[in-house]
Amino acid sequence: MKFFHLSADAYSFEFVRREKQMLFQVLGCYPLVPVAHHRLSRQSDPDGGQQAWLEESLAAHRAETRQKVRQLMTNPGNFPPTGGGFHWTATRGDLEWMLQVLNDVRVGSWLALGSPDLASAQAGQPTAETRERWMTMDLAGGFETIFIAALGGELPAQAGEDS
Amino acid sequence: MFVSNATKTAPALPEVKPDPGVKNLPANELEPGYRVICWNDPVNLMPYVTHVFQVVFGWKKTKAEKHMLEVHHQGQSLLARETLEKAEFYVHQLQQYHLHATMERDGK
Repeated sequence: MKFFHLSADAYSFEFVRREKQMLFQVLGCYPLVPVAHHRLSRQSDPDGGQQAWLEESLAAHRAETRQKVRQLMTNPGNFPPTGGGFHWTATRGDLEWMLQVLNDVRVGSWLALGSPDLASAQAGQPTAETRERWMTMDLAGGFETIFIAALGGELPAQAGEDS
Repeated sequence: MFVSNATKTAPALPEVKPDPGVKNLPANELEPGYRVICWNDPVNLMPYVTHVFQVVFGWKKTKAEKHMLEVHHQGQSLLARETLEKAEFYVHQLQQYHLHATMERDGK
């Protein structure tokens, strides 16, 4: 993948075909984390009102983000072909919701795998049934790392496309 | 301050009605009394956690990393102490990024 930082709020990435397929594979899984997974507080919520508010709010946000993902994936103009693959130009705001989507897929995959302790050798090895989940989780994390590095100015940028 | 001689009477001020939602909150819920805590988990990546702290709280990277390392090494980090509404807002923002964050009442 190549990265071009075009301007203050334009981050351009060039994907080869396989990378775009992998990104779409991950995005296509969204959303995975159940809305009720997040708890507002570890303390009791006597009437459940605050928790209900949180879940409603997260559900609304998720519906909005789902729409963005759908639009991104279905409009071919978002990934115009180049000689080497496909381009995607994003604003900072685009990258932020993309990060939320990627992490939803990462955390959701982890939950589906039984919340293994990834730092432990006992985390378990992928089986034929779980291999795809492990791969999706790792892919999501890989893309997160790239986009965060781009936002933080830590990803070496190629020379400008027009130079 | 310049006062024009052409205006002899003060303009009518708009009537401001109190927000019934705020008026009905107990006084103690208007005071900073809620802790926003981020808890450790095995799945969220350290650079990701740092980035989210920077975005949600507007912190510089060094401060965000400090709190991330607290989460990582101590199991949790106190991110803010706020009013009920502000604490809910922060937790909501953090959970949109799927961090394991909650709000807890001070003193409990």
